[in-house]
Amino acid sequence: MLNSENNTTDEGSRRKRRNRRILWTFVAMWMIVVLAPIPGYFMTTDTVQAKGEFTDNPRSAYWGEIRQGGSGYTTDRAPEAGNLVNDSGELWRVLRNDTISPYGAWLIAFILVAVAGYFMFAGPMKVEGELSGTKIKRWNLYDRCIHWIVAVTFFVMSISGLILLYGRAVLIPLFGREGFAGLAMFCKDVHDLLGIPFAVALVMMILPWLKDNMFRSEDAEWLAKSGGMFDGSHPSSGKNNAGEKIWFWLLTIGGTVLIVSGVILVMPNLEPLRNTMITMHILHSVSGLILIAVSLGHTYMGSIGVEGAFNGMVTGEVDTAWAKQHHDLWYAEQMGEEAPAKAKKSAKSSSGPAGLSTGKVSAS
Amino acid sequence: MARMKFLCDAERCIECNACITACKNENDVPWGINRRRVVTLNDGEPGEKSISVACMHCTDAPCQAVCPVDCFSTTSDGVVLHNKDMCIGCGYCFYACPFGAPQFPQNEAFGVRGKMDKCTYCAGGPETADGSAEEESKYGSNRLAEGKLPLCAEMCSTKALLAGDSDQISQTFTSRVMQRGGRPDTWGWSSAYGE
Repeated sequence: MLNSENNTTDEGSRRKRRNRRILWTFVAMWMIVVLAPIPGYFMTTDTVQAKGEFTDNPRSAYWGEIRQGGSGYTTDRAPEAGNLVNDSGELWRVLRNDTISPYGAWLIAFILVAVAGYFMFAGPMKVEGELSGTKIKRWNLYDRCIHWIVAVTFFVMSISGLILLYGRAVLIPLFGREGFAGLAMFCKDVHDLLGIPFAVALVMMILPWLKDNMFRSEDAEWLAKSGGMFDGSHPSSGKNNAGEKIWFWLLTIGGTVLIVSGVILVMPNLEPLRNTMITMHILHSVSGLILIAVSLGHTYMGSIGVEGAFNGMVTGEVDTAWAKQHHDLWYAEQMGEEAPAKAKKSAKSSSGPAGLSTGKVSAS
Repeated sequence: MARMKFLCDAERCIECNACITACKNENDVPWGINRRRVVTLNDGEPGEKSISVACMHCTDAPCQAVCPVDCFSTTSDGVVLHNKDMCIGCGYCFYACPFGAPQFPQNEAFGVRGKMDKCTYCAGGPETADGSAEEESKYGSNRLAEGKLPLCAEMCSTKALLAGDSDQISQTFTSRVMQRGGRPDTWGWSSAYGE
């Protein structure tokens, strides 16, 4: 019994010892496997660091700088010839082909549909009541000439500009590449040359019309009622209503942008930088498309949209009934009458014989 | 089909400008127009590098994408050519090109841009008969039709400027880089002057 007891304790402690030995062996093997390569890492790092140049390609920063637009020396005398890579044209390409072109087309289509829809549902604005048969001078000969010079040059440049922007997508499938190239060449020449009379006429139109296009107190009410477009009311207005004033200022700002950017684009002799030309092209096309879209609204209002408005810009004279309805403050001013009570404050005090002398009234 | 490319080895280019001279002479390039130019970076300093650039004959060429009259075309060899009959001289290709390759003669009134001119990869024009007198006067020589490569690369004295099928010239370039042991400065300043 005792012997056997001794045996079991002996065997138990031996098994325990063996297990411990196995465990430690495993730990030792694991340590060797994991730690043995580490000095190797230290050694390789040491050798690489000793050589230095292996850690980093010394040329990588060099070419990276070139990629960002760095430049060097060249015998080529052209502007920016030392510049190896300028990728701003990629942004311009995306803006022109994928942003400005489609959104510009949508903008023009939207205005066309809106104008056509308004014409179909609301119809033209007619003079309420009977025409008086008495005419009042609204635009003198200078006003009319300068208006139509600006209008015709703007129209031709709009068409030629749209052909240059959309012709590749729309007209090449119709005419073929060779056929379209001839048209595009003609359009480019016309666009370039007409820019000169347009620029001169625009300045000659803006300056004398400035004082009639300053915003006044009655314009807020006119805008709040959308000029009576939807409720048939006739909010007060001076010589130009708020809508005409907004168009005037859009044309002033947009036209100036168009002229300045156009001159830079067409005159490489000025040696503008490539990024300048790209910026100018974006400004030119955006402001051109906006003005074309808004001009469609103006053309509608001035032709079939408002009865009598077109004759006003052709003959220079409008019916007094028309003037009373659309431009009551101006009419009162011209007639030397007291301004209507509702807009007494904003009416100018220059009524009287002076007003009559500028606004000649003639029976027709 | 081959895809023709230029590759300039900046470790070999010595800014001799012979490629420009060759190009001008071979193609009768007018005064003021540079189809190819050599740009030296860090000029005059140790480690200066020169590189010869011309039209890169891009696969997705920006000039081609923005041309309002669509006058660019890519040949079956991957050469981007441009038709001078159709070109209207608007300058859009110049705005779009990252490398400044398109050139414009300014011999008209007020310096208005004439028809664009650029490297043709010595492949003449897209619409003219190969080697015709018309092609010669409009675009310059058509060496590709004669089975020759562009003259700029052919006469490069250090063989820095490589022209040919993109696979082959990139193989040539890769083997050069391998021989240099991956160290870009094995050739040039640091091996010669120890800097």
